[in-house]
Formats: sequence, structure tokens, C-alpha cells
Amino acid sequence: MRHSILRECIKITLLQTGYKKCILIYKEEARLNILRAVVIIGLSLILLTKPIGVVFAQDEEGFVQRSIVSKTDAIVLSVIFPGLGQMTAGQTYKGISLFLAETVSLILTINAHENYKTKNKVYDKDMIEFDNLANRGNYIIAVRQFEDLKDRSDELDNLNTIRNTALIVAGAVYAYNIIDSIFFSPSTIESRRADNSNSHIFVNSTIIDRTPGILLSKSF
Amino acid sequence: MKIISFFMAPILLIVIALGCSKDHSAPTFAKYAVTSKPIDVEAKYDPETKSVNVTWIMSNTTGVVDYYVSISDSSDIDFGNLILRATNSLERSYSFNVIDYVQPEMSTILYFTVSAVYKNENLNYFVGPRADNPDTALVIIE
Repeated sequence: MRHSILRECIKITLLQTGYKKCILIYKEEARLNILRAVVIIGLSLILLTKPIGVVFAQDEEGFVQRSIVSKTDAIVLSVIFPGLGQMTAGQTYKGISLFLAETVSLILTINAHENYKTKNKVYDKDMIEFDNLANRGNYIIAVRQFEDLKDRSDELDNLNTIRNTALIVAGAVYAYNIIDSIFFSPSTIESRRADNSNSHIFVNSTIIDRTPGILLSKSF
Repeated sequence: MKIISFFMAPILLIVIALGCSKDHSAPTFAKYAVTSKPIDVEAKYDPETKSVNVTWIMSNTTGVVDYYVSISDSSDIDFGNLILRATNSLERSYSFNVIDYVQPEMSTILYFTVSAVYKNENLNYFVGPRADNPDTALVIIE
């Protein structure tokens, strides 16, 4: 690409357009290349996160890109992370709720887990010291260390409870999300049909006086 | 991909659940709880020999190899800020000269307390609990 641009530049220079213009064209080309790369990467990311077919539909405002998600795709997305399937299938609020619930419970789990691991490492070290007091140690120090270790053991118990509770919640949300995506979530097309039926506006193909047409009806 | 996702999800949950198992155990004091403390510690100063004779009672001497007698001149009597001395015997009395620990022509109150030293299959020269009530002796070196 650069060679061709350079060749173009040389041509332009030969045509007495000047060196400055050549540089400007080169810069413009580079900018366009960057823009193209950004658009391609962005589209690739969108396609990767939404493994779905893309169609274009026409309405009064022009071309609007719309996505269609099959039920299986929605389930797969839900398996990858709770709420994704529901969100892409049109159940936005439910999807966001599941996504947030899972994220919060996972953050809590990870936080409690890291806290537990760090404190447990120090606790284990002190437990060894406590056991070593049996060798030429002292009862008074043993009592002090025992009280301290007991408190810290209780703290670790609490952290373990928080971690496991958050993990159970995360698991429950995940399980509910899978069940919901399999049994209760419609595909995008189904949810659009539901949206249409809720709006009481129907668009159907019909034949009027032997001529094909479109029937637009609204119920009140 | 779909099958992998379906099978990986429960496996991942099991792995996480196992990773979150309780890794710590509560401390136990059983090993040290078998030790007992001496009672009725008495300290008597003999002005003629300038020594203090400390006596005590120890009801259960199982695992006891000797005793620590600690002498303090303040409230910090846990380990004896003046001296912590092993008796090296199972005798329940100990006598020692206090002239090195008391300034001449000054009255000094000394605190005496006693702990048993244990040695058994779990404990190796472990200093047990000290007597609850340390005895005092008024020492005057003329």
C-alpha cells in the first residue's frame, strides 16, 4: 500500500503538484487506513460478541440494521454469561438484571476469595508458630496467640460464608438464566412479534382487487 | 462450540466450588490445656542470710520436669523482670540470695511467682501457667 502511495506521490510531483501536496495525500491515506482498521476491528468485535445473522430492513426512516437471534444462539450467549441471551433476544430489562446480579455476586465472590486467601496465608503461618510454642514456649504467649487466632479464625469463617453465599447466588442466577433462556425466552423474531402485538399495529400482505398489497391495521 | 459451552459451564462451577472450600481450621488449645498452675506461693525473707525462700503447692505433677521462679519489682510479673530462674528439680521450694537485686539501705518489695515446666509427648520444656496470686516479700538490705 505504501509503495503505491509513494508511486502516486512521485507521479503527482512529476506533474508539478509539489512535494507538500504529496505529503498531504500520504497523510490523508494513512488516516483513512487507520479509520478503516478501526471500523473493521469494531465490526469484528460486534460480530464476535453477537454470533448472529445480520439483515437490513427498510422502514420510513431508511435502512436500519437489525439483528436476528435464534433461540439456540440466545441459549449459547446465556451460557457464556447470564443475561446476554435475554438482552439479544429482546428482553432487555431481564437481561440487564441477570447480568448485573451475576456481575455483583461474582465480584463479591472474587473479593471475598482474595481476602480469604490472603488472610489465610498469614493465619497458617501464625498457626505453625502457635504449634511451635510447644517447644520451649510459654503458656501466657500461647493464651494470647490462641485468642488472636480464634478471632481470626472467626473472621475467616465469615469471609468463607460471604464467599460461598455469593458463589451460591452466582450459581443460582446462572442456573435461572439457563432455565429462562431455554424455556421462557423467545427468539428475537418472537419477541418482535410480541412487541408488534402489544402495539396493536399489524402489517400483513394481502390481495385487494386481485392486486397484491399491504394491509396496515391498528386495533384500539 | 455450543456443546463445549454446555459441558464446560457445570465443570467450571464445580472447580470454583472446590476452590472455595474452607482451607483453615480453628485453633485448638488442648495441647496446652493439660498444664496446671502452682498454688499458694509464699515468699519469706530471711534477713540473716539475705535470701528469700519461695514455696508453693503443685497438686498434679504429671509431665512436670522442674519449675520457673520469677522475681519482679514491678507489676510486670509475667516473666519476672529481675530474674527468671529454673529450679532444675521437682522440689516445691526454692531459695536464693537477693542481695544482687536490691539496693543497700533501701526497702524493696519483690514479687514472686512460680510456673511449672512440662515435658511430655506434646510439650518440650513448655512453661505452664503461672500461679494466680504472686506473693510479695519486703526485702531490706542493711
